[in-house]
Amino acid sequence: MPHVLCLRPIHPDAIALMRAAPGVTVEVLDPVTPESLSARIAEADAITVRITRIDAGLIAQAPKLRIVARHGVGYDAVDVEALTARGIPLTVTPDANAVSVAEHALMLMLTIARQTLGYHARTKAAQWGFPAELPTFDLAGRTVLVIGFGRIGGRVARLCAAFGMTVLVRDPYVPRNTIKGAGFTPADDLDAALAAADIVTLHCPSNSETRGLVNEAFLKAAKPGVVLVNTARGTLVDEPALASALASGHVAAAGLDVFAVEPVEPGNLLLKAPNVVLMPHSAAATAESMRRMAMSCAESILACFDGRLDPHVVVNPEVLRRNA
Amino acid sequence: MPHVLLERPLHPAGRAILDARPGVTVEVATDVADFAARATKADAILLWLSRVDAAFLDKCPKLKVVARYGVGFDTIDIPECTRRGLPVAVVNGANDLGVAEHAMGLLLGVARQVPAYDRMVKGGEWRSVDGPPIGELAGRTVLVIGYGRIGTRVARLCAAFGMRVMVHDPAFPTPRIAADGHIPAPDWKAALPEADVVTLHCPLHEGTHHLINADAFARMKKGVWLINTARGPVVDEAALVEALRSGKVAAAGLDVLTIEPAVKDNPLFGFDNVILSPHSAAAAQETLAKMAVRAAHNILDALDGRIDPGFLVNPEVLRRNA
Repeated sequence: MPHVLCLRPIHPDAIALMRAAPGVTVEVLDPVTPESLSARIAEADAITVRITRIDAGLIAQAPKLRIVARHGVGYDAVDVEALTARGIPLTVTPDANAVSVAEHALMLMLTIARQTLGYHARTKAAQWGFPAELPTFDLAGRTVLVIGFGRIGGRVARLCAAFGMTVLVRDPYVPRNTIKGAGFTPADDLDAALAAADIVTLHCPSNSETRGLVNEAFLKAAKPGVVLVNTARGTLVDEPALASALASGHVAAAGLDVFAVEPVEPGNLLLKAPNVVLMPHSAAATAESMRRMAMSCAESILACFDGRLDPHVVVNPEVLRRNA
Repeated sequence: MPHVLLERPLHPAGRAILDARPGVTVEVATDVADFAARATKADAILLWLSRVDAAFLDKCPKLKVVARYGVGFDTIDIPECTRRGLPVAVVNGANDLGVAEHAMGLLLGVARQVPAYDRMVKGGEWRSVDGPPIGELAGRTVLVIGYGRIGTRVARLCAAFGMRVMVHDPAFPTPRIAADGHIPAPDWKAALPEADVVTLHCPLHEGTHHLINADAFARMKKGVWLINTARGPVVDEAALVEALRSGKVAAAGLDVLTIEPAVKDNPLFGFDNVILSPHSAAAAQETLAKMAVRAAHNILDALDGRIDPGFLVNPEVLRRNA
């Protein structure tokens, strides 16, 4: 009787799908506290994870665990090595959120380009006209640097091209001919690309190679008046360095969906920085995306129970070969 | 010595073109009353918001061209200008890109409820999953009303986002809408129940005044998003307020209002799910420069008697003047 423990609710259609499978039981843990987790984790054959940290200590408390299904694509809060050591697959929902996150990145660009927040507030106060401190610009004709050319970055690059932007792409793991073939310009020299870009948008994972990528040197190499968009991970950015670049005006504006620590801490300098559009990690939180992520988790869990898990959704596919 | 009167200071990109013309004098009015007073001596006027009617024209015997810094002409009595053989020039082609981007900015802002979420995050409230509902553009059906220079661009951008695009324009041949890859909606009222998004890109005239009224809202899908970057009176604001109250309209993005500049007691300002901008769709720096250049050329070309009829609202005056 495999038991699925959902750490916070997921879309009801996904819970119904799992409950409809013979012998599968589903339990939703809400709220997720260290106490509620310790009390129930031992029973779980599978868990769905939204934001809960999954560390080695927790994994050790789950002797029956056969799969961890991440509701999302980031897994920096999951101890993958500890799972791999136990032969437990970690799945993500790669096809569920790309559309939604890419649209969110374009939304942040346009919100900045159009000064949506500033003009919205002024109009509500019955203030008309275009003050010099709220300049607006067109995306068409601007140059964007897309860092990370995966499922999300690829879509963002295409959408930017549809707006008539010049698209530079930086991804050391994608052959430059693939980028050229898609119609974009490979950015072999990061500093040269930063000097050319009006907008820099981040779409890479956060790992030991990329953490703190957007630091003081990165920002210094960027064009004065650059716009930064981050819908990837907060830890890619040195937040104090960004806050001071915003204060000096070197970075004209930033659209941030993610922060180094989430929920964002009250003392985070970016909360008070000028010209920022701040979102609560909601890029993938559209109704459509939430349902797709939940369904993807449910499908992975049921496939795992049946021994037919798709390796393309598994972060540590080596465990599948070992289990075989 | 032709004399050009500008209602407001013109963007330097356009002003330079006027100043470079030998023999043309240029002055800038201080306000609407000053503009009307000085217009009596002008050969050409460039309008922002001032209204031009028969009484205004009666006082301007020298006038040879009425030019607008914009593409709308609902502030000008066109039949009266035409009767007097006065060409009315607009800056066609200068603002279509900027307005189309603005419409997409409002649409995405509405989809993600950007002011509400930004306010929450800055106020210390972190609601990543239980905040106001947000949605994707991909897969939604949009009805584009008005398929001119702006509507065609909006339709293409919506298609790039993976939307299903329906287009209504009584003045545009349906086979060409289909050839552009969109779904023609000759009966726009019949298309309303299918649309997740309605975006307006038609001019304001008698036929479009209050086009989006209580009857139109009644036909729409519950939860529809409305975007208006055209003209405020195309929408019956009282009916929109009612539709927002009932939840029929889930969210709206409005660059234009019935009364502009905005007045404080507009009931639309009380909704968290309405994003507003102060008729700023065409206010991007690039657009302002392009509009100013076009307006300056329109004035000089009209004074020279060689204006391209494509920039005139009433090109028939050229044939008559010839």
